[in-house]
Amino acid sequence: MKISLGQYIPGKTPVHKADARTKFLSMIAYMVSVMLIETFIGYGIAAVFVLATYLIARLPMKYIFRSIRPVLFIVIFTMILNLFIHTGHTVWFEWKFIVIYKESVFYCIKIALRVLLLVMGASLLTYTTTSSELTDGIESLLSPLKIIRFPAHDIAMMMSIALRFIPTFSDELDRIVKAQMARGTDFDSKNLIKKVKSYVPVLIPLFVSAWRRASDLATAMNARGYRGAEGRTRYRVHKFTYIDIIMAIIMVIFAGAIVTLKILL
Amino acid sequence: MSHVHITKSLFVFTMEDIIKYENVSYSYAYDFDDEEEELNNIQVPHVIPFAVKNVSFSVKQGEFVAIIGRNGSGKSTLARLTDALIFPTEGKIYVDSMDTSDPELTWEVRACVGMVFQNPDNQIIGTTVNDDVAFGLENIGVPTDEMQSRIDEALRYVGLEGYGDMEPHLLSGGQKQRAAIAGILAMHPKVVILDEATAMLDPVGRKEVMDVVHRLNKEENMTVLHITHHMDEVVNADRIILIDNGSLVSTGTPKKIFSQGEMMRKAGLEVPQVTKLMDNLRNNGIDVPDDVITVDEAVLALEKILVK
Repeated sequence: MKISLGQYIPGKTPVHKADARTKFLSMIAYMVSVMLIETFIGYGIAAVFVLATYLIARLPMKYIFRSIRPVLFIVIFTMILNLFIHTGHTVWFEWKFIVIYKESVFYCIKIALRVLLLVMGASLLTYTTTSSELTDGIESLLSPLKIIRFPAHDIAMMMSIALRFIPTFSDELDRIVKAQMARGTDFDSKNLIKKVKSYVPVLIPLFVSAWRRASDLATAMNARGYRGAEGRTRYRVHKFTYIDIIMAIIMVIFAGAIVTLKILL
Repeated sequence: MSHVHITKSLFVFTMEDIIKYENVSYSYAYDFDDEEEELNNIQVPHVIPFAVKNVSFSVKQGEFVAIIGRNGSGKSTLARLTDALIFPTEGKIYVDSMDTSDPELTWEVRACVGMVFQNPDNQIIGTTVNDDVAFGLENIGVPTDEMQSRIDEALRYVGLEGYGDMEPHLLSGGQKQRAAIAGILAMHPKVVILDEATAMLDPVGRKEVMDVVHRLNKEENMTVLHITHHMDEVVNADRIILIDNGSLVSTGTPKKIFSQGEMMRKAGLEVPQVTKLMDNLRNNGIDVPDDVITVDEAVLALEKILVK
């Protein structure tokens, strides 16, 4: 099984070219803005904004569906749950003990929109930024914290190694599952408890192997002269360009619009 | 009988020696951060198990030395000692005149010695081949604008030109090991150590890696320490160091070592197939020369006999 690192979709659009730090901060600004939204107009603005960015990044619409697919079940489940639990004043539908209020319908839709918009925004970042750019960017953003001895470099290195080992462990997991199947472990049991239990003999070898790999990797890193951030130069240099300025201005306008909307309405 | 002679010659160090091992011993039991605590809390066994025992030899600049021995014989420990990843319990190792036990020189020794390990997956750090080759360069502080040319040069040398943007897990085993070699070549080391680097590869991958290493040794005069189980990989070495139970058993040219079949068997190793064939022929009364170790030499020798 060959899986790809992250979800990066290669491209040469301004969204791809923008610095990872700008994109990361923009995403945080976008997420905070979305959390502040309470009106349908606000959600409309956010949706137009995020869809426009997908268009600029030339990402086919199927990637939007791909990004929301993992959360779709939870969104629908909470929507239905909220529909019955949430109360309001205007009754829209009544049948025996089931009462649905107008307010709870609106509330459910808003919650769903919020989650979907958040996920779409976050995916936009991972679609247009490679994992190494992202970890470099996070290291750079965290570096002011070095003053208070925050290990920014080490955390970024840990993240990038974790990302690098995802495909390795996915292959390993596949191998262990097959090995345990050959020994008679039943992974297809309908019984949920049995199913969970059948994964214990998979997780233990996986953990043991992870420890061994970690130890080997540490030796290999030492052998190549790794000693933390000290005296280290960088292969990838990231520079802010006019794209970043434009992106920052757009983000400020967007966040400003959302905040203004919140104050006015 | 040959042992005495070898032990004598070992102590003759010349100016061109790049690595010198002087009475090196190493015990994992002593590898504690706080030695005193260890002595107080842990019962020290009466016989301290040494992974490497009183080993002395030297390696010349540009030499291709193969280190052979069975599992647990101390070959890998010796490799780690050479790269200053662990430090001798007793004795000294000098790499390019630097004492590996000197904490001030640890990083210089590690930059001077490049090591390729057994498992290709456990030594790749970068998320792309370029990033991985750059990792060592970043560590030793190579300026950013110099990096790409050194990376390209190293990748070209190992025949991975154009693979720079590939994710390492998409490469084959042989390609991964060659990428690992590129990673250390870019650092411009003086010594390359292959610590069973071919053990997990298929025959094609092994050949790819060995071709690169031999080219490196011949063209660039790179000193190579090759640790392996595969006897057919060592027949072209300049010298073989045979290690068993942490001690140096014998050293000499492949022809000399492989002609001592009994000693090889005692050390838990098989002689190469060609040597075995020649031994059998000789035992059956066919007069073959006793210095035949490679397949090509065997073909020539047999042709001669058959023509007769």
